[in-house]
Amino acid sequence: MIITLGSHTITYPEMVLSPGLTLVLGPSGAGKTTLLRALHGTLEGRVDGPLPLEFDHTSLMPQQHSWVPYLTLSEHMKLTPGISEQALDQLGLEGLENKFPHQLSVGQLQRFSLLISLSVPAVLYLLDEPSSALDTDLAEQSFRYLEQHIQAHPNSYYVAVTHDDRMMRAFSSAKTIEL
Amino acid sequence: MKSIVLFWRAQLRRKTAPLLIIAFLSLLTALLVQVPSMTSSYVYSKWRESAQYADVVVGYKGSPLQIVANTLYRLENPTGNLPQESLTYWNKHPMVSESCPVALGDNIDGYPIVGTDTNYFRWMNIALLKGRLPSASTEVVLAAELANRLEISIGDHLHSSHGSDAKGEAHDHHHLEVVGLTRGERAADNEAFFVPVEAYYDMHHGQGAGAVTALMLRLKSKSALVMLPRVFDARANEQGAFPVFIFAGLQKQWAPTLAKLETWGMLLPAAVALLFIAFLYFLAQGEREARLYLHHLKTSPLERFMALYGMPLISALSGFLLHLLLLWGLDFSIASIGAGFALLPTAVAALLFTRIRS
Repeated sequence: MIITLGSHTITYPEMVLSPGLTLVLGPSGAGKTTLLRALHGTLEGRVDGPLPLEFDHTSLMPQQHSWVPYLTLSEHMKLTPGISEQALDQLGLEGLENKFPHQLSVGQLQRFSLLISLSVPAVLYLLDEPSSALDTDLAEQSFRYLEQHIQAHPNSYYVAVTHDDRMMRAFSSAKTIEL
Repeated sequence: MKSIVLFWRAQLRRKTAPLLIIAFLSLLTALLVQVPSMTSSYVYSKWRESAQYADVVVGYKGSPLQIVANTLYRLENPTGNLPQESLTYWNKHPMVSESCPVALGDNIDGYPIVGTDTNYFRWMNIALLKGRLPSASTEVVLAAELANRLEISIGDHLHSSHGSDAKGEAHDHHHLEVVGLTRGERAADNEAFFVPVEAYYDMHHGQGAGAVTALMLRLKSKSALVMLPRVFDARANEQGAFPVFIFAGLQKQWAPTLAKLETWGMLLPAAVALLFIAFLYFLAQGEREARLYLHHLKTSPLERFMALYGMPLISALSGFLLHLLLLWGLDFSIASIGAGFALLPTAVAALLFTRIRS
């Protein structure tokens, strides 16, 4: 598969994805985020060759811009039904429902972003650096939540881009793709 | 739909100032688009009004334009005086429904004195604010505004001077008592003193009794306008001036200038419209995160557009509606044109919104 973004071309190795978690690894600029966007169907570039997976129902957790500055967390939740109070508690976000994104820490925003992404009913979940801004305890909290989600949706696909050794250790049995 | 309402509610709560700015800019654009055409419409309507005060102004042989300028606006010098015989002739003329004499030539403090009768106040829509209209040759009225400026009150006694210069020969023998204050529609009527025609004869020791500077006529039928020029040709030392033809000629002369004014006058609303577009564009840039968020949720393009830009569009429409309401009484068709023009920046901005990449 070859993706062309303006004058920049990225050639990807052949990828075979199966249900469960796949970790995408590789140096910066290798095209990991571009791959997620291509799989999400929101890439503004040219894709030559077949995508490894193509589903209508996909959900992306981007690295940034995954919230609206003037909506509270509860309003975000209304846009993505399916977020439970229990899930908020599980990710340590309880009591923050009426806060705006700028009132949250980077770590809280990242966990909230993960929560929203995983709350969208989808077959393919795409996570871009889901733990990069979290300290060890919070990262483990997020990994546990992700693990439960994967177990609850055995037929879904999860593709996560990461540089985080903690994530690689937490999901040591996951398939990996090196770019 | 639910997400659209949610976004609109949040925008109303958190983005009130930008939304009000949008409404204001759309109102301003619509109003400014109107200014040049309203200016020329105003000029033309004033000319039409001026042409309707009198159908004919009869003066001494000379320039019709000079007769109109002098009689209606107190500009230029009179062409001469009309004798009593002329007044008698025209007052009895079968085509004339009513007449109004105008005597000019003297002043008080540099402001012209108009010798006339009560028809003048009626024809020129001059309202009496206080006191009464002059009936004796020793009585005078003036505009309340002028009286205030010159510190003149009812009951004051004034003296006139000869000619248009305040330093002209004073008519010391003739007293004028202020008996009323008026308010005219036209600047020329708010910058003058009014006396009965007889006062002019008394100011000049009875010299020229019966004569006036001009005689304004109203005709029984407008069709007489076509026939009267031939009547004037046969009258020695008389000139008929027809305001409706003079103003039509002026309108024709000024049409290219006013058209140019309209063209150049469009630059200002165009500049505000550009400012409006720029504001909407930068506002849209500020919506980038929201746009991406909705994109990630895989909402439809229409849903995204309505959620993010529906409220700014409603604000812009509020501006247009306010504009229509403001100018409703003036001229709905003109107001609609302005609002239509103001819709253009919003349309351009909406187009730019859709071009912003995720």
